[in-house]
Amino acid sequence: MDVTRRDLLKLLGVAATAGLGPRALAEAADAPERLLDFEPLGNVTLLHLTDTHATLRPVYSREPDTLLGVGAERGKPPYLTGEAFLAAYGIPRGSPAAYALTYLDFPALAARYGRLGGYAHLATLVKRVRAERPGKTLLLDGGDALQGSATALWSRGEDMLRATNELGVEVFTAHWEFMHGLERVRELFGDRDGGGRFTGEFLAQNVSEVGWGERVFKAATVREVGGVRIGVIGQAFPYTPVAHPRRFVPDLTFGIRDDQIQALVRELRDDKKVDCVVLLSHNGIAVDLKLASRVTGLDVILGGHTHDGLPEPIEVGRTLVVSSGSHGKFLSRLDLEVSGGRVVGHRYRLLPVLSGAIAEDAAMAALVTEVRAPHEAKLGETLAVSESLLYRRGNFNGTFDEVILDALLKRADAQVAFSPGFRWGLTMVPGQAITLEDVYTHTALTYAGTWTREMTGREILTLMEDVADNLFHPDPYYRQGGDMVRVGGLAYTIEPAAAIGRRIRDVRVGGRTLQPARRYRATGWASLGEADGPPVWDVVADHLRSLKRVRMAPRPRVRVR
Amino acid sequence: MRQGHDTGLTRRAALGALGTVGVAVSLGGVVTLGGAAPAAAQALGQNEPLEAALKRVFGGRPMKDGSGMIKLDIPLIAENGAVVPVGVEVNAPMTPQSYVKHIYIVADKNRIPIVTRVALTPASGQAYMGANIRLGETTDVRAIVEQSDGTLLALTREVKVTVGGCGG
Repeated sequence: MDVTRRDLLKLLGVAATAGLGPRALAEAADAPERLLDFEPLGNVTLLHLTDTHATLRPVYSREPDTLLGVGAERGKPPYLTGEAFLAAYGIPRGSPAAYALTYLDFPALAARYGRLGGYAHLATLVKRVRAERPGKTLLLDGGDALQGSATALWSRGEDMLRATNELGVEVFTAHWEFMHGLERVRELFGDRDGGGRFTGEFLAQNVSEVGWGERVFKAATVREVGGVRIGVIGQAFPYTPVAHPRRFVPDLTFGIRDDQIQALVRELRDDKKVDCVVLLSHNGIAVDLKLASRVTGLDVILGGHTHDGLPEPIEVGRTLVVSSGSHGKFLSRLDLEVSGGRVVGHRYRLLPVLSGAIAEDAAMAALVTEVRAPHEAKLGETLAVSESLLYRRGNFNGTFDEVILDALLKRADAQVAFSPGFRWGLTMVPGQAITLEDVYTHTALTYAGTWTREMTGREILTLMEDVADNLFHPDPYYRQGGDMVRVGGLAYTIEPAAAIGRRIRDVRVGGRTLQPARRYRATGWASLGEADGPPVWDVVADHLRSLKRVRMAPRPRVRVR
Repeated sequence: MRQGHDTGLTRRAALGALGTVGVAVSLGGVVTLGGAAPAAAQALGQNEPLEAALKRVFGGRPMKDGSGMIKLDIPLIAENGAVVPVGVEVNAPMTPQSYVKHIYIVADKNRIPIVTRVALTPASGQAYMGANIRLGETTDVRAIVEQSDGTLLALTREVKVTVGGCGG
C-alpha cells in the first residue's frame, strides 16, 4: 500500500460529500484506513455486496473503457467511463477511487494501490461496521457469489457458501448459483419450506414452478433492525432460463414480474406494517431504474448483475437505486434514518476494499487457506507471463478475450470464434504470471465445453444481432445483461441505437465481406446446447503454455457508430 | 392442432411446420383457430400474411388503444419459444348489455398469425383467458378484444425469442 498524503486529500475531498468533516479529512490523510470512515446516520445501516464471483482473495479488476447507453441513457450514469465518470462524480484522476472505479492508468494505479477485495478483508470491514452500529446492521448479498473460480466450480459452490456464512450474510438472492443446478441450490440455500446450509435467508420472489406457478423460494422477509421493521424482497436474475442451459432449472419460470413486487410491497406495508421496503435485486441497473419508476413504495433497491460501481445512489422518485460493483471490490454502506414508516434521511458510500489498507480477518483468512490448500499447487501453475494488460470487461472484446479466441481458432482451425461477453473475469497487469487459476477466473462454468461447426454467414449475423439486442434494446426490461459476444476472426461495425437487424454491418471475415449464404468454420464455448469439444480452460491453458509470453494490444475489430 | 393428424404428419412435425399453436386453458372460453386457419394448416408451409389475416377477421374496422383496459401477461423474453404462456384480462363489464365477446391472440410473425380466439358470454363472469402459444422467432404479440357492441381494442407487446446465453 503506497498512498500518498496528496492522493488521500484528493479522495477525501470527494468523500466529504459523504459526510466527513474537515477534521476527519485531516486525520484521514495520516491514516490510510480512515479512507473508510463514515459519519453514522439514523437507525439502520444496510451493508450490501454483490457479484463477488467467488473472489476469495484480493484481485485486480479493471472497470470498462466502453459502456454504451442508448437513447436517453447516453452520457449519464451508469453509462459513463473513464474521465467522464471521474468528472461526473468529482473524483481526482490517480486517486484510489479513480483506480477502483475506472480503467484509467490501470497498471500504474494497480502498482500503487494494490489489489482490491478478498473475503478476509471484507470480513474485517463488515465486523468493524457491526461493532460500530450494534443491532442496526443488515448484510445483504445480491448473488453471483458461488461462481467465478476453480474452487467454487470444483466444490459446487461449497467454498463460497462457507465464506458467505462466515461473513454473516443475512439475506441472499441468486443468479449464477443456478449453474450448479436447482437441486444443489436447494441443498445449499433451502427453499420455501426451509432447509439448506445457508445461515441467512434466501429470497427470490420471481422463481416459480411452471404450470401451477407456485413460488420455489421465500419471496420476502421482515427484519427488525435498529428498532424498526425492514421488509426485504428478493429478486433473482430474471432471465436465468434463457441465459444459461435450460437443464439447470428445467421446470422453473423466472421473469421480472414487477406486478408481483408491487403486491409484495403492499402486503409488507399494509399487513406486516414495515417501516421501510428494500428490494435485493439481481436485475441489472437499467432494469432496476425502470422498475423503480413503475413500482411505488420501494425505499431502496440494492442492485447487482451489471457490475456497475456507482459512488452515489440514483434517485428515482422516492426510491434510492444502489449499484455496488463486483468482484468484492466494494462494500456498500447505506445508513438510513427510518421514522414514522418512512425513510427521512440517508447517507451512502461505496467503500473500496483496498486490501493493503484493511487487515485480514483471522477466521476468514483461515477458511480461505483451508478451502484452497488442496488445490494450491495445481492453481499456481504458471502458464505464461503477461507483457500487456489483460482483461475482459467492456462492451466489446477485451484483451484476455482475444487470448481465448486465439486459442479457440487455433485448436479448431476455424475462421470465426465466439466467446460470451461475460462481465466477470479478472485483470492481469503487465509482468504478471498467468496461472491456471487466472484461466479459470475467466471460464469457470458448468458448461464450458468447446464446439466446432459450420455456420452460414446469415447465422453468424443473426447471432450477433441477437446478442446486440440483449445489450442495447431500448427497453431495459428486454436486456439480459452481459456484453457483446466476443468475436475472433471477424471485424464489424455496430450502431447500438439502431433497431434489431440493423445494428451490425460491414462484417468481415479474414478481411473479406461476410457472405450470407456461405458456410464458415466456426468455434466457441459455453453453448446452451450440446458441446462435445474439450473444456475451454484446457484449450486456453495449452495455448498459453505454447505462447510463454503474451503481448496483446487491443485489436481494432469493432467500429461503433 | 388436430389438423396436423389429418395430414398424416406427426403432431410435433406439424407444430414445427406451422410455427403456431393455440392451446386452450380458459375460463368460460371456447378456443378455436381463426376462421380459415384449418385450411391453411392443411397446406403446410403456406403463410397467411398478417395484413391479410387481420383484414379477413376484422375487415377494416378501427382498433382502439387497449392499454387502459387490457392486461396482457406474456413474457418479454420467452423462456421456451415452443410454449409461451399468455394471459389476457380485460377490465370491462360482463353484463348482457355490454360484455367482452371475443379475445384474439395474434402473433405477427407466425405462419398463421391468428393464433387463437376465445369466445365469451356474460355468463363467463370475467373477461379472462389463458393459453400457451408457440413462437418461432421474436415477434409482436397482440391481444385484440371485441366487445359486444363491435368495438375493437388492441394491445401489442414485443416477445423476444432469443438465442440467449450471454448473461453477465
